[in-house]
Order: sequence, then structure tokens, then C-alpha cells
Amino acid sequence: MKHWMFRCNDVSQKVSQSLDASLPFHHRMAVQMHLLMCCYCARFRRQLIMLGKVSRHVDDEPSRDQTAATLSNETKERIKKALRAAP
Amino acid sequence: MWVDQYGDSLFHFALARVKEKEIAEDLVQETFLAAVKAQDRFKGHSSEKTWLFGILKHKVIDHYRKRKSTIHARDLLNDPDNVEAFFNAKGGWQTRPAHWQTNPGKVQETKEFLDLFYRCLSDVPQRSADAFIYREVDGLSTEEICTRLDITANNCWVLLYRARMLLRKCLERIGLGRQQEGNSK
Repeated sequence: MKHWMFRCNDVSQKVSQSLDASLPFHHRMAVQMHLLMCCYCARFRRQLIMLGKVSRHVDDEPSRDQTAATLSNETKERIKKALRAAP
Repeated sequence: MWVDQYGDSLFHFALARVKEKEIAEDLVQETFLAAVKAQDRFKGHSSEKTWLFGILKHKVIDHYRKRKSTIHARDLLNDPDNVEAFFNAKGGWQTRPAHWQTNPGKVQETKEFLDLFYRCLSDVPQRSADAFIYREVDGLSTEEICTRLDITANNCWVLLYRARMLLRKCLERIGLGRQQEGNSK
């Protein structure tokens, strides 16, 4: 594998790895060059970034939506009781 | 008290994923019980709420795994562990990444996307899915994941790569993808 000639399969791996660690400079450059020329790999990268954002999504909608389902008081009490009984 | 402070938010999230009130309540209770047990491991890197949501997400995925959802990445993919099959002999995409018809920035679309997301993630082989959840949901570093799974950094990146490839492929197959430019390179 020549660093300046990454193909889509190499780039997909490097793009994934770049989300978890810093790539060596020459790999980073090779990936950037490829992404400039390949809209599919660029799209793949955007999608991986989106997956990460979705994974971290925390839903705080009940605080904004009055109609949102909430835990009944009975259920809350049951859970509290279970927590108190937990070892 | 956590239950009063975060119970409704967690329940809302769980109910949206599992659709059944009783199951959602059980998942919330399990989340709080797990949180009490793991309280010492909460390092304060994230907010308490984010931490609790992280535990709940693990529970939701476990629930899907146990129940085996109707949509299976494994069924959709001939050999789910063989990520190399996603590319042709020349190293080009076998099937080009499609344009996704969604904008998870919008609340409603986020809900729909999350449903598909958790179903697909529950069908990714467990070790890869675990690595992905540790990384993306819990925000652990590669080193921390290596320690938890007792693997090398290279193995960790392979697991994460595999999880991401399978996840996006599954999402594309079950409704997000729209091929605009033909199928293969």
C-alpha cells in the first residue's frame, strides 16, 4: 500500500481510525487528498461523524414537551424502593 | 434523587425505543440499579445525566439483542463479519455510500433515526458493538477500551471500523439510503 495512493478501502479504514486516534502526517495528507477527489469516501466520513453524534444524543424532550410520556408517581416510588433495597 | 431528576427523560428515551411502557419502566429501573452499583466508576468526565443515558443505551441494545428485532443486519449481509466484501478487487466501493435522506438535527427525524440506529447496532457482532458503544456512547479512549476488552489498539480500531461499516450498511439497507449515482464503481 503506497501512502500517496490510498484506495477507498484503505481510506475507509483510515477515516474510521482518525476518529479514535491521530494519524501519522503522511497518512493524514493521503486521506485528505483522496477525500478531495472521492465524493463517496467524503460522504462516508460525514456519515461516520453523524453516527458518533447520534450515539451521544441525549433526549431531554420531556422538559420541553408537555405531552411527553412520563413515569407515574407509583412507578417512581417502586423504583426508589428497589434502589433502597439494592445491596 | 436521580429518579425525580432524570427518571422522566430516561423513560421518554426508553419508551421511544422499545415502544412498551412496562419494558421502558424496567429498563429505567435497571439503569438506576446499575448506576448505583457503578457509582464509584463515575469519574465526572461527563454530566450525571449523560452518564445515566449511557447506561440506558447499553440496556436498550441488550434488550434488542435478547428480543432479536425483526430487522437483522446479519440477515441483510451475507457475511456480516467480512467487511472486505464491501469493496471490489480494485479497492473501490462495491456499493457506493448512498445519500442519506435524513437530518438527525431535526427532533422528529432524530427519533426515527435513533430507532433504526439502535436496531442495527444490536445486530452488529457483540464485541464490535461493545467497542463502538464504549467509544461513541461512553466516550472512552482507545486505551480505555483496550483495557476493558483486553485487546491491542490495532484490534480495537479493527473492531470499531467493523462496527461502523456494518452499522452504516444496515442503516442504509433499512431505509436511509437513496442511490443517486448508480450502484458500483
